[in-house]
Amino acid sequence: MKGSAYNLRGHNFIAWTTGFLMLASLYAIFLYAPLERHMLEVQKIFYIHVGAAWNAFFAFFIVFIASIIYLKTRNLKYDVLAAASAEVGLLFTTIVLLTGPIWARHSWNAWWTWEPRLTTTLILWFIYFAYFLVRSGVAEKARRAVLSAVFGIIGFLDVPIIYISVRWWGSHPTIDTTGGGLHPMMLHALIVTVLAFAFLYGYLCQKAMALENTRQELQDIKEKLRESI
Amino acid sequence: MDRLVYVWMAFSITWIAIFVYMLMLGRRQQKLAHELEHLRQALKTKK
Repeated sequence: MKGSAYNLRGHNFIAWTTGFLMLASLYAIFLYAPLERHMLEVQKIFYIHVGAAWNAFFAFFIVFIASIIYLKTRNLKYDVLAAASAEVGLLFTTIVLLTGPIWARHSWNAWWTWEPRLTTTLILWFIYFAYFLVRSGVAEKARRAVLSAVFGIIGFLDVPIIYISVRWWGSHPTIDTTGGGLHPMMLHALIVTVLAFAFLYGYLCQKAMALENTRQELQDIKEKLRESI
Repeated sequence: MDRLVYVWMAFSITWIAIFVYMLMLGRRQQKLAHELEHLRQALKTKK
């Protein structure tokens, strides 16, 4: 009981901090950060696009780590963590893939091009979508956990490819940093937005984990009841 | 298209995606609560 009250307090803290940081990021993006000289207002998309992208990569990194730990320990709580993190990562990747083309339409005059970073990000989305197809396709708990752990580890290999794709092939839109790096006020706005998405990740991941735990407990009870009949 | 329309589109899509996902989590929670209630009733009648 004490533990659950502590969890609830922790959950409330994350929820309120997420709300506060989301509002702070909107203030930082629209009222604090200056306009970029070439893209003007359209550059504001950069903050949510990058904030969602970095946290999606972080979410998939957690899937990668939790999957390795699961395969080593066979403790199902790591499978639950991996599944919850993959779900939030998929949401953030969806945001990246939806906001990217809007930015691209202004920068390249096209909604979509088969540019390396866009293509590898789309592949990432399909990999983790398939991760959930694997999860929903296998009924047995242990087998499902092993299969999704292997999938989670292999799927993560796409993340470093996305990261280095710009260096290898270049052509993704970037912010004008002539005069040495990102403008400090833009950097502050970016940090606040990345933090807001990080707390949102924590909040949603906690919720998804709690739901998955309850679902598995219910499934166990049902199985036990069926066996006792 | 006006530059502000792009910004509006990107931010609206982001917020809608987040709210739809939270709505989905809420639906799942409701479904589990319903199943739990069902199970409780079944156990009661069994006793």
